[in-house]
Amino acid sequence: MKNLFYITRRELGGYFSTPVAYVFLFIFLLLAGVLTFLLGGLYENGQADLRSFFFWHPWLYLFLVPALSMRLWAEERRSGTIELLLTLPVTLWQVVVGKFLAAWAFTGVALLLTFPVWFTVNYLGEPDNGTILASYAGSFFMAGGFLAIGAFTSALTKNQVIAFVLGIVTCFLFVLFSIPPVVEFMGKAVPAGVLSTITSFSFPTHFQSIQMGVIDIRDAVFFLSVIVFFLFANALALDVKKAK
Amino acid sequence: MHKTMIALAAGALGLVLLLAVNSLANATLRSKRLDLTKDRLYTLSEGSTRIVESIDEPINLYFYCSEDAATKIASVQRYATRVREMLEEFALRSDGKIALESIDPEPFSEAEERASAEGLQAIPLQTGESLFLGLVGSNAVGETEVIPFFDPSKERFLEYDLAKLLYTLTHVEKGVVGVISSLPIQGGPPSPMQQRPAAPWQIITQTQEFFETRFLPSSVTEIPDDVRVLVIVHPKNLGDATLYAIDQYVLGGGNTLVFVDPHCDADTAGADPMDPMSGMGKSKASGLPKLLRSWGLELVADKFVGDRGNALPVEVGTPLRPRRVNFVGFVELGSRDLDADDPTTSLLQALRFGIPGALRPLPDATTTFHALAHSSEDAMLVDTSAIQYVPDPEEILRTFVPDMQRFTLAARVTGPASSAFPDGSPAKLPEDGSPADEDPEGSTDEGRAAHRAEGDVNLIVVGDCDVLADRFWVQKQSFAGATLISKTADNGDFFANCVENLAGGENLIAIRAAGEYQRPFERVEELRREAEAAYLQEKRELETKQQEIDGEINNLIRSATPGSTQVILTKEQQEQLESMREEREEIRRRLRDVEYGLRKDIERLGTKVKLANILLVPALVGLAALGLGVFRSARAKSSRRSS
Repeated sequence: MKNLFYITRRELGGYFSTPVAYVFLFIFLLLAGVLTFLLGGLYENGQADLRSFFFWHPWLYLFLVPALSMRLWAEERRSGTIELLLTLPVTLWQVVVGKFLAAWAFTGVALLLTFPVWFTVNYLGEPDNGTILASYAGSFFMAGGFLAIGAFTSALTKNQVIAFVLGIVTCFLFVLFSIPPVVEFMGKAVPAGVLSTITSFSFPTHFQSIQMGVIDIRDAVFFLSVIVFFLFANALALDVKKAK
Repeated sequence: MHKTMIALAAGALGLVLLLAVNSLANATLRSKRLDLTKDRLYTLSEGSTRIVESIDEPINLYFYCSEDAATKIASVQRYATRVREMLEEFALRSDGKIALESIDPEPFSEAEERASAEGLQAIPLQTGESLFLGLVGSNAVGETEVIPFFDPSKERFLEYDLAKLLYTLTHVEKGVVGVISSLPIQGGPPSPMQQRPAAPWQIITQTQEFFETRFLPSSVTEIPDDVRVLVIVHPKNLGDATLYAIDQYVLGGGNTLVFVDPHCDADTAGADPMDPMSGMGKSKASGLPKLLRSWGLELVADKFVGDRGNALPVEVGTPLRPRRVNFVGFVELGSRDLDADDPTTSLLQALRFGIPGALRPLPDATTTFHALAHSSEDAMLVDTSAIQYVPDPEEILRTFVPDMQRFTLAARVTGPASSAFPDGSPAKLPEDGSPADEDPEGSTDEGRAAHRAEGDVNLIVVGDCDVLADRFWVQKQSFAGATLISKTADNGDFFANCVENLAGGENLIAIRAAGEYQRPFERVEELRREAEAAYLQEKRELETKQQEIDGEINNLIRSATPGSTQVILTKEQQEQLESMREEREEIRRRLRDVEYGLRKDIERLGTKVKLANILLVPALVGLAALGLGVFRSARAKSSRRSS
């Protein structure tokens, strides 16, 4: 347990000593602001809620999270430091979970830094802060989901760019089946039971439910189970590649 | 290779596990949720719970949902799930009394036929399939209530609709609506001028379709037990005994709908139809001052609400030269002036009032006063003397000074109140002041209900009686011997909603619309109000001047060429026209400035907000990064120098 804590802390500290982290934060916050206010029209809508803000999160994460996760494993595998890491008295699991938790905590920091928009709606009106809190929690879980996928794809290759692209593509699969025209199209090709299973695995669907202000335990189970699965796959991939 | 195979197998197993866990969770973990919303939107409200728990007979609920069609549209799927889960929660809390069955009416199946037979609505989808999403409920005696289609856009009323369905099934006796009215709303014997008896007001005809209406005399001394809703219309000088009866009925939880009016146009009492002047000067006002006071509110006396923002046009002038002028006493309120969350008003589009009064909560009220309908801010209280004899709408407009506040025209009043008769029934007190306990006959003690000193009230009070009059909301046309009735406003719906809602009792009343509350930007609204207060006057003056100038220009052109199509002006007239056009341009420019001024502050705030959000934190992050970079390179330099 202590090892896990040290690994997480070391990784997290490592983030803030590289320019990548700051670039990520800068772009994420700038984009979030632009999308919320200039495209989403938060001010013009005149409603004290953060719908126009949270609406963009799945898309923001889709493109930015793989950028964050691509360096989790690919770089280490390429430079060989991974072998060094694994000779230390730590288990594979601790490293996998530790790196993931650090990256997750970092996205948490990014989310926290969006606090001006929360101040803004509270200054302008009287929003339902419980709903906003739930939405932030849901966004955080969703980010974790995207991250776990990205970490997995990063472990599959030594090339960061390939990790990035694979990450986006895989994450996109989890977003695709929330888009209505796509679902309609699939409905013609696939039986209803299969269709509803596929659509129930899309991130935005569960995120939207949480945005209503209610954290249903099934949504929590969904995101957690996806994270666990991809971390598991992550460990498997590393284990296999380790021998090579 | 071997290792890869194991890894792949493990991965596949993991995937299966993932699917299994989620399927299991979806199937079993149904009602476990954390409701963080401010108003607990996703938890059954107390009112619903009480209604469900009070069910003492078996109820069958058949939920029809076309699964195939629903899966295709995400929003329908989500809503169908929400409906089903709410039904399940109702069933869960009913202690086994509610049996819920989900039916998928597949095309051409028996289930589909039954669904249509019961009255469910099939919505055709683009894919060609039909979507059923409705509910049929039946009780032990075989009566059924149906919700033909659960409209996702009415999600806010889902809980209310379901609770109402359950309530209706378990309280099939509709109950009696008791009416005390000084206006001839039930119709009446033929007057000397007419040959046919006066028809009952449309509002009563409509109510009689759903409820047994009983007209109680204005001198009634006790409200009968079976009266579910008491409707009081235009009460004038009711005797103490009647007031006491009403007071006790209300304190006993009796649901009451009160219509009072500072000036009721439909009130022709005391007027001889042969003599049009006889009615003038007689009071057309009604009130229940004593009772209203004990319920925590008052009707502002001798004044009516003139709402310029919602004024309706009336014809003035002589028959030869009629003009249309806005009369601030006849108003049509739109959805923005009505409470969007109360079931009685939320779906209404237009509500017409005629010379309404203002209702106000009293400062020491123990009850809760909730406005259902209010005027715009461009309104003021006008003395009723202004319209007592021959109303002059133009004069009222000329002297109109808006109060910039919204006056309440209808309100819901609930909560604890005390009797208006603290000493008990006024009938008991003898005239001479001697003690009331000796009664030689000794029989009047029996059957006399105990005096209620306090209780919880359930009232809706409306400051206008003309709102009930036919001319304010229906148009009757004779067509081939029959009378066609068409609505011009939603007054009838409002009355029906109030009666239905009150008949449903306090539990149904307690369930308000949930979800999607309007949460406007208060600060922006404030800026808008301030700006309007400052500029509105100027804007109206400019607009009036603009109309005048336009009129003058038209007159000039018309007078120059009577009859002919060509416009021939003298030099003088041309110059006049030029200067008038310049003046018009000037006015237009000033109007634009005013409009801009109205929006200026709001836009400035918007720009500040956007800048702060988009650039502030990223800039800070950038600075932090730079700072860190500088700090590090300085440290690296100094360590290199020292080494």
